[in-house]
Amino acid sequence: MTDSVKAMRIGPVSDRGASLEIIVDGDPIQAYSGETVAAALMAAGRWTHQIHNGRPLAAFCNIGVCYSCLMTINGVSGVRACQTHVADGLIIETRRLAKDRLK
Amino acid sequence: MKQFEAVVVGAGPAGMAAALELSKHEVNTAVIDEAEAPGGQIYRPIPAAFKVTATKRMTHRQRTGRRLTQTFLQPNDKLTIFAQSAVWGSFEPHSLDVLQNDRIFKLAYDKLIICEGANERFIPFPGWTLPGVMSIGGIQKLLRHQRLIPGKQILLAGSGPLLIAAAAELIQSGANMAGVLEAAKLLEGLPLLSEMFRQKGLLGESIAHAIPLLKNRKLFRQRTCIVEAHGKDRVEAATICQLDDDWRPVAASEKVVKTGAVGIGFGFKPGARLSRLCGCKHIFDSKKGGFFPVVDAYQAADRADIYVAGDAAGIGGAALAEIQGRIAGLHAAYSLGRISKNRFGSLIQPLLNSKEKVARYSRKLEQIYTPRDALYQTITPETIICRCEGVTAGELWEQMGKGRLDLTSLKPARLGMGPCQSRGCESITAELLRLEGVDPHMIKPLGLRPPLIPMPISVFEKNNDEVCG
Repeated sequence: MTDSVKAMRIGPVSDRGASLEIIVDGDPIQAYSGETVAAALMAAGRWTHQIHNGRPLAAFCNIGVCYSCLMTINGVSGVRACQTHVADGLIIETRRLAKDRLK
Repeated sequence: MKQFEAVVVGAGPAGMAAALELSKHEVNTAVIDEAEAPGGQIYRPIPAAFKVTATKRMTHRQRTGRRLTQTFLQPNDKLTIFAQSAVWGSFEPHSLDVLQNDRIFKLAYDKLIICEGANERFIPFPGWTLPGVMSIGGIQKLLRHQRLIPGKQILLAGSGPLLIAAAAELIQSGANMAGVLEAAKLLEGLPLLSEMFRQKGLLGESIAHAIPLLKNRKLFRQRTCIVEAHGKDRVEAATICQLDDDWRPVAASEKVVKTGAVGIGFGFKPGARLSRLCGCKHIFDSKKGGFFPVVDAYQAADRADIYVAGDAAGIGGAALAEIQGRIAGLHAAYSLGRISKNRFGSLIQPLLNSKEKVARYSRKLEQIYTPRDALYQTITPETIICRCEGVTAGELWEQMGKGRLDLTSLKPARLGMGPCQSRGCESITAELLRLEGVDPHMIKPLGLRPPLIPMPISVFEKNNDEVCG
């Protein structure tokens, strides 16, 4: 994961909410209270939010309309990451069709 | 079952204005909105958990929004706000089914005012579903709301005021731009000038957006557009191309630019969904971005007791939305018997006048920035039309060739069958049908069914007593 693919947070992180950790596909990722799951993933350089028939998709409209950022969040599938705020310990699995999981 | 005299869906400029007008005239009103705080897309506040709050210098529009939002949030015993809530169904007239977090409940209303707002409009091209390609509005929201710049370099392409506004904000936030591509010509915007002088705040806002671009003139290219995005797991480069005056890509003018993120958008389309579920008549108009509900001068739809106001009723922007919201609210209060006929007449006339004035600007924007047909040539047979299911233009054209010249009969190709429930592909496919020669008036929207939003089954288990019959 190179820095060049990470979305950049504007201003000092102290401007944001409390620092916390979310778990994305098993990896701990730092995020800040007030951020959306989609934003936290972009800031961590994670741009594959789901895989559909081998085709990667990520947050596109960022306002909850395109459903390209669907994930399983704390066990609930089909949740829009752009409309969900992070919380400490949130467990997130990016979305895969069954056949994409086998690969 | 909760009972209200009026229910407003959406707390953007139209919804807040409608609710304030209703409560002012003693109508017991409920407002339903998906966000945690009111404002809609345009006045969305920075997350409450962030320590930074407002930007240093507010524009006229932002001040207008703050004033409206503050008034809306004032203690008001006639106003009940359901935040983080969405309407997922309406199984009978005068009744809505609402999801709030993990509970569902029914709301009964005498008058319903739908203010669902707008979605952005896109013209697909190969690679537009790659991660890192986002809508311009989506990037603007990342910037304003999440204070995040999506990539090391950003390329913006499309047409209309949002493109320029987002470019200006990105530059001011220190983003490194790979280019700002406007399909229209700068000079074509001249007819807007007279309206900018007439409408308070517009001129100042336009100048504020133009300055960062004037300082970075090399970034701005008119009559230019993106025609392909390249990359494996994420966008890495884009092919850009010059356009002729019909917005037709000019042969051999392609150029590849490196970029870490792309923003695309050609203005907006009405986000009308609930009005369709409620059975209101909708028609297709390319200039308006897609399907929009038919409403009268008071924003009343063709179904009894239902109004649609703001961008959901046809794209007009925040100023027009606020006026339409007030008109709808006032008319609803009048038809509930809270205002005398004479009083209604004197209150509504100035609103109808200013609606007409503000709408002139929107109509000019429509004329200048509506994508011209030749630009749809960027859609190749392999280009994905439905992001969710990966349905390509070629698959749709093949079906159309078999005589399937309406949206519903294209469903076997999985059109509109993905999780977004056709929010993206429907209007694009309607344009493809139009370009195949189908009369726009004959293009009927897909049928919508509840739930309007994906919902976990557990919600229904938990709320057995409220489950619809």
